[in-house]
Amino acid sequence: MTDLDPTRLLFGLDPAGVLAMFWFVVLIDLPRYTLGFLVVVAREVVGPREAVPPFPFTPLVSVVLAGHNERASVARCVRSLREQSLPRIEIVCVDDGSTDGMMNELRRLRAAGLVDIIASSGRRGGKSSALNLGLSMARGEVVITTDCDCTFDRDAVHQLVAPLADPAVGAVTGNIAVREAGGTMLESLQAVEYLVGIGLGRRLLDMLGQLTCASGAFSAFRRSALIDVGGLETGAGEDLDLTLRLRRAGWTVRFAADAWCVTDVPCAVRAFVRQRTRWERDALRLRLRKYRDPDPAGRGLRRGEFLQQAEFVLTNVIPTLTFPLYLLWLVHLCGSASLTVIALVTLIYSALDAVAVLCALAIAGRSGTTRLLPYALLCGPFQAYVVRGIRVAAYLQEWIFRRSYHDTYVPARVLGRAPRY
Amino acid sequence: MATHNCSAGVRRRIPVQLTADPLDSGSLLNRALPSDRALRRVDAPASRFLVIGAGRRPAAEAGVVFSPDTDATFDALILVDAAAVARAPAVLRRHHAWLAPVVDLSGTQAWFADVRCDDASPASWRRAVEQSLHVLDALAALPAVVTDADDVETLLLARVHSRAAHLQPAYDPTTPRLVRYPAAGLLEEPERAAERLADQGWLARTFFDRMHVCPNCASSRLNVREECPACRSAEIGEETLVHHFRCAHQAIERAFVHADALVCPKCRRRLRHFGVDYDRPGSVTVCQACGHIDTDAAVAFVCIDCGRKSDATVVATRDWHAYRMTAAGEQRLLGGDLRSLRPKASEAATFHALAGHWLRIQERYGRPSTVLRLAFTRTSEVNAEVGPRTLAMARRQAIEIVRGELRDTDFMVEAPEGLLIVMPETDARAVEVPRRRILDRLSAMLSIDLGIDIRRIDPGELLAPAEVSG
Repeated sequence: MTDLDPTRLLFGLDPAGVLAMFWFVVLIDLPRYTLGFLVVVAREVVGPREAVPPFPFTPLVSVVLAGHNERASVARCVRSLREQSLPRIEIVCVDDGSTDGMMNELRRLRAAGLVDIIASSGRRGGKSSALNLGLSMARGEVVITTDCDCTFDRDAVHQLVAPLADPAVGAVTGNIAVREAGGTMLESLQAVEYLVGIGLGRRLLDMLGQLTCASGAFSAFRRSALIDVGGLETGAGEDLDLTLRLRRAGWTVRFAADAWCVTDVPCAVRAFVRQRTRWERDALRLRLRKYRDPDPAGRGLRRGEFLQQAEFVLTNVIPTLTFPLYLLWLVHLCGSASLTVIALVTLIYSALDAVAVLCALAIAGRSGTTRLLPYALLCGPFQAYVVRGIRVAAYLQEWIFRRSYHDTYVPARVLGRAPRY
Repeated sequence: MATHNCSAGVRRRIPVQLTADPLDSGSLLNRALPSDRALRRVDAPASRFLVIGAGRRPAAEAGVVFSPDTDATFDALILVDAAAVARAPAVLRRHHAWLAPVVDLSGTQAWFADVRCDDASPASWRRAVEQSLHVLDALAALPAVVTDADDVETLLLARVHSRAAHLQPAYDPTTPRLVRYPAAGLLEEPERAAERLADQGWLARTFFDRMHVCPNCASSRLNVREECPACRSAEIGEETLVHHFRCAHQAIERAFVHADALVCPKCRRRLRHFGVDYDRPGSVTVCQACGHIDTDAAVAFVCIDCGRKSDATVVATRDWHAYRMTAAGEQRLLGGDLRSLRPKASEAATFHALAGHWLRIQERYGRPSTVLRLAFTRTSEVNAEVGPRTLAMARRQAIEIVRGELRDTDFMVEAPEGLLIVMPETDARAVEVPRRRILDRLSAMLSIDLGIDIRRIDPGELLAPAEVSG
């Protein structure tokens, strides 16, 4: 270990020294996000914006809401759907074995004419089976899946469904904002994260044809595409699972940036960590295990699917697992100056993420998002240390212990029968 | 109300002692009448019993005269056969004999009869006359102002008093309303009169039953049936759901049935072991006509009388009550005092008093106050869309929401089209805050748009007599 003078360290580095010291940021994070985001912004500002047509495409749209113990929130979601500008919307609600009286709430909503079809699976079977039941009852040519804690802009469904006018498109995922109902800093940081990760990140992936997750919170599917791939599969991460199967079946997945859905996020640290851990474990299980073969059916999709896998490995798995090593290397290299260097790294992250937040705000086109500006500088450290830390733990849990097969998100009696990969 | 001009049941009858008639071998009355009747005066006019129908009838008794003449006045009516029962309502109406006791000896169980017998045997005749005389005695004890009245309320009181002081409803499938008050006889819509009398303290009510009412013809003869929420077919059945754990497919059982095995239609795997491969988490209703699947069937009512089919939500209900005369009511009735027992101190009157008092304070001391009128402007549309029950519930919910938003010092009353609200110590500018708050709250909490409009009104308008429902 070498002790370096922090001042000399900060001001004495030539470009090669900077690269040697901050290679992780320069080689991985800078191109990974910031440059890509700048391209997206440039395209949004300079390039022609795809206008949503007046709506020549007017399918019957079925919204399938499946929930477990969502009595308190389902009415708000349904009312928001009934406010949509798109007139032909069928709402199908499935109660997945709730014990909080959700079914009674659904009956009340149907009696009020707000819900078209309700069903109860009686005993909790997991979200996938509940959605599949809803799908079997839905009559729409387009099926939207969403969560009970979501609400929507009035034109959200219109915007979400519009890309399905292209018969090659099998799924469209919408934009998601955070409600910040609890008013905590954790919620605001997640709001910034959603703004950048979804509002900006999915635009970038959409440009590249690399969208891999039509979020279960707000996505539209062509019914024939859903039937083509057999609906949802058992296990957590069902939305990612479904999207990957749609891609492998040759369907295009698009992002509707102006289709805004607002959702609740965890406001307690423990709930946040649990949710993120589950997401990250599911991503690793599905993308590197279950769907490891990019084109098993030989449909000529190898290149596209290989690219999305490479993107996942290069921008998620490797940076996540090497970041702790990089920090250790910095400590080893800089000795007593390592804290200063890590602080500098943190500052760089803050700056990069501030740029990303500014980019996201610039193209969000949604009022109220500018209040998130103060969190722009905190977003970098939050992502670099908190989110990445959770991801490291989740990847290791999944890699070594396959913990996703013991997730309580799906009842054990059901998950135990699901195939393992 | 038609004028009551018949002596039937109201003629001042002086009880008589009955004697045996040697000319009538079948003298029915002399053997079994109660001993108190034997003490009655021999010089009293006899009660005239109109007897309709063919068959043997007893000859005149002392104190009781049987007559077949339907044009003559009568005190009581005896119906001997089914044809007589059919004629009886017209006869009773023609004579305005609203209080006369009616005896049915035909065995047809005429609903309006006070005494019903299965046959016209001597024992039945004896019982019929005896009970009729009891009724006539009770009527004779009432003041003339009661028995000579021509309004339904007073006549109903007289009938209730003379028929054991009870107005008991009974199910009757021959009437579209399914419920009758036999003790009310042929009086029109006795339940309305009974409700008014109960409000005034003459009668005390107890709940009897609740009937659904056809929104088209008001009949309660409705067939209640379950039907498909989508196509409204009654051809529906229940099927269990099957959940295949491995692939998450969940659908009705018939989708899995393959010969005698269960095979998942999604992944083509055989479901071998209940609880391991699959379970049956619940059941759903499946329409055999259109294939629609739902957890619950819709409930609809089909009117047997007019054929109108109605959703459960738009079918109104009608409550039926039993009534008994209150002790105070009975005393007043016997004394001939027909004034209301309960002067109506309504909420509206209280509101008027309070509002008037406050407006006088405002005028004298220059204190600010504001009067708001909340109107439900879409009641007719909502009624057409969701029916009267849901409208009433939504309206009640709205009123409760407003009540919850008012300050302790505010007061309100229900008006025909909505609410009147007085907000003391609140000027026109300051009232905007609570007004907006009430509107926001109503908008957020009501699932039905009642077209609520809240605006300030002139206080003078407030005290217009017709303004407030009473």
